[in-house]
Amino acid sequence: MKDKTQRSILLACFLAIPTILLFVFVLYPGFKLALISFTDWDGINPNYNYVGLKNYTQVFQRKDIWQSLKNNNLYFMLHLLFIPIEMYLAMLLDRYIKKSEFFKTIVFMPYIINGVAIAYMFSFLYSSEDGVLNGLLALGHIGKIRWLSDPKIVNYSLVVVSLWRFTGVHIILFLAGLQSINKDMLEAALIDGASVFQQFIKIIIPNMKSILSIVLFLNVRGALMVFDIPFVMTSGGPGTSSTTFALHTVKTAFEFSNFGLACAMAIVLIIAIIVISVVQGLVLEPEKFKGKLDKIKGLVKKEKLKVEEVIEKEGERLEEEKSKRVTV
Amino acid sequence: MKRYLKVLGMGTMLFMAACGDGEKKEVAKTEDKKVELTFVTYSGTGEEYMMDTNSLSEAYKKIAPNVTIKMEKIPATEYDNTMKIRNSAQKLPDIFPVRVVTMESFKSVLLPLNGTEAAKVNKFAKDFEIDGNIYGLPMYGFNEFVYYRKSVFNELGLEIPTTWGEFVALSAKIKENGVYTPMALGAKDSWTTYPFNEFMPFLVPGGNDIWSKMAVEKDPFSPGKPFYTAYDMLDKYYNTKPFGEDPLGYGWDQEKSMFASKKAAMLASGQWFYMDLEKEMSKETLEDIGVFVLPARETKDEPFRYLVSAEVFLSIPKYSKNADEAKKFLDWFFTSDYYKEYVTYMNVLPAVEGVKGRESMFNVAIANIPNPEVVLQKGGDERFRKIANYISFDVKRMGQEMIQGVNFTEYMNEFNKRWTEAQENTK
Repeated sequence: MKDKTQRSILLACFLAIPTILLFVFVLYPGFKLALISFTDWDGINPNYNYVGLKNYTQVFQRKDIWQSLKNNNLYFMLHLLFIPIEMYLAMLLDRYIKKSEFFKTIVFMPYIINGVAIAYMFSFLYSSEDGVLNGLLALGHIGKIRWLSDPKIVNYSLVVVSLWRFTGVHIILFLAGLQSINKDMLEAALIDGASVFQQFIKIIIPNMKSILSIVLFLNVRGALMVFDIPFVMTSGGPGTSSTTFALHTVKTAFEFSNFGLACAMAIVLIIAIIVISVVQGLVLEPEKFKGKLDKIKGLVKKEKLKVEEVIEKEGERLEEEKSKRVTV
Repeated sequence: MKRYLKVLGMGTMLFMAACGDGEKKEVAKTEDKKVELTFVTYSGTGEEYMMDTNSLSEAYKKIAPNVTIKMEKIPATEYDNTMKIRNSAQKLPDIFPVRVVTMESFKSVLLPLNGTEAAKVNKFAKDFEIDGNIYGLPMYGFNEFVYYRKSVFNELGLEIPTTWGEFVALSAKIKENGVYTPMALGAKDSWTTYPFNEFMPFLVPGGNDIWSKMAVEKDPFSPGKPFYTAYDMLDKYYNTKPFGEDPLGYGWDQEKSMFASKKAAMLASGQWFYMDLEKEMSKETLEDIGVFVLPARETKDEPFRYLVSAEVFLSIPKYSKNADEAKKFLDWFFTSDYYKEYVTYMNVLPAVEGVKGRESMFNVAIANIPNPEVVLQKGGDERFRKIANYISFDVKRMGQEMIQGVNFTEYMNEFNKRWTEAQENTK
């Protein structure tokens, strides 16, 4: 009895504590965020007005917001282009490099370094006054490049930092995927005379779809939420040329006291990530969605049949009753 | 009778003794009631003086032994956000400074200080009233200057400019020489453009309240309007590239170093910058530093407008549990000897009538202004703040964009459009 009570208390705690934490730190703030997105709250005044969908229409109408999304797009595209390279590097580490543990550590290292420290480090590399990169260019008698102050270049400079930081984690994920592939399949393909490229296309990629979808999800989420790198290195400048969506959201809230709009932007960001991820999943693993869709269709069909059966039986019953009445 | 007198005498003595005890108890009660006043400020407001050099808490303890001032410093760049976050949790300190540009937003949570002794003696307070209320008491005032290297001016035979044209020509002459960058500007940190992009619209005939005036205008970015005039002057100046090779590539720290190491001949900043210079330069090199006031007038016949910025508006939140004690502290602070020592240390303009600051080259530069006219930098009314927030109007960022190069007419037209749109949407 005592054991049973203890077990019940333990179980209740295990259920209650995470539920409370989830409610306090995720659901309630999320609900509050959504609520504020319909107001004109300035972040200071205790009073605010409900403005309906005004903030949401602004999110879609404002040029500056679209401009910041364009900058996010650059992060997304360049990371996307880098995925095959990451896969290739993972393959190299898996197959051809002996004692790859050391290289794995090196590759993973940038990810575990603090983002702000990385941003500072690259600021020194890019410095137009005494930066390492311009120093190297000077050795080749090439003039200085304004890595962080030329609006045409600044975003590319920042994306390079992001690539340097996140490529490692993608490689490690791909490596885990590669190692989970049955080696017999690859050996059989080799015996059958398949080239490395053919093995890659026909065996590796199909077997790594789930890892690929994780990496793509991380890419979408990461690209839309880039904040620390531009914040530390350029503060979104010069002007607004390297401002990303997340940075714009923070500035809208704190610099321009427009918390309502900032919350609406945050909600749109959440929805955008969900929608893009679903679309990505549809493209990458249509069979999975097809399976789910078939299951839903099956359920609907089953329910429909049940309903039809009930209607039929009811009809028969009514007919029977009618005929009885006529006989009487 | 004697007996009665004896009893009466003893009774009186007992009564007096009881009264005496009561008084003692009252004093002890007051002394026992310990109060901790939290006072948060941002870096650059003389916090090291108030916290370490000449402890403000210790000085006030002599006046009110039961009150402890607990001071905290927040980096200036993080200050506004930190205060907004603390306010959302109703955790603002008992005393904290509000900047002139955020006063309008904070007014709803601040306690009016109208009747206080501190407000009566503060010579700037009345000018910054909002809706007839004084919400903050500026600790001091500043003048803005152009710092210059005397040796460079002597070497190139340059004179202190008194019109905008002379100033532009002066920069061009330094640039022509090819040895020095005319003006150090670390515009990677957008705020460093403030002596130009934030203050110039006040200095051309814009006036103290230019922001509020702009709020009711349909096209404040059109030719003939103060903002346009000021920015047109700046655009032409920026086009002469006076800030060196890559002003957007380095920030405030590098800008300071450029000037301190004599790579740049001038640097525009407030009086507060001198404290930074004192830390970076030796006494001998400091003697090579001179200051003049940025001339924004186009001809010598016009008045020479110069800016006085009131700074660090000490405020008390409405929900402070120690509001009365905080008011008493402010009354003491602005009327005390401590305040006189503080403004002397800071080398700034005292905010209190009758207090004299440090004699310095700044006073001389101000005294030498021909045909002077004081302009106060006000933060703009509610209408202006709404419009500015709606379009994310940031003059310092505009400075960065102008330095990187814009088509000026199109740039101003775009702002006119955005301004009108904001006016319609923020009615």
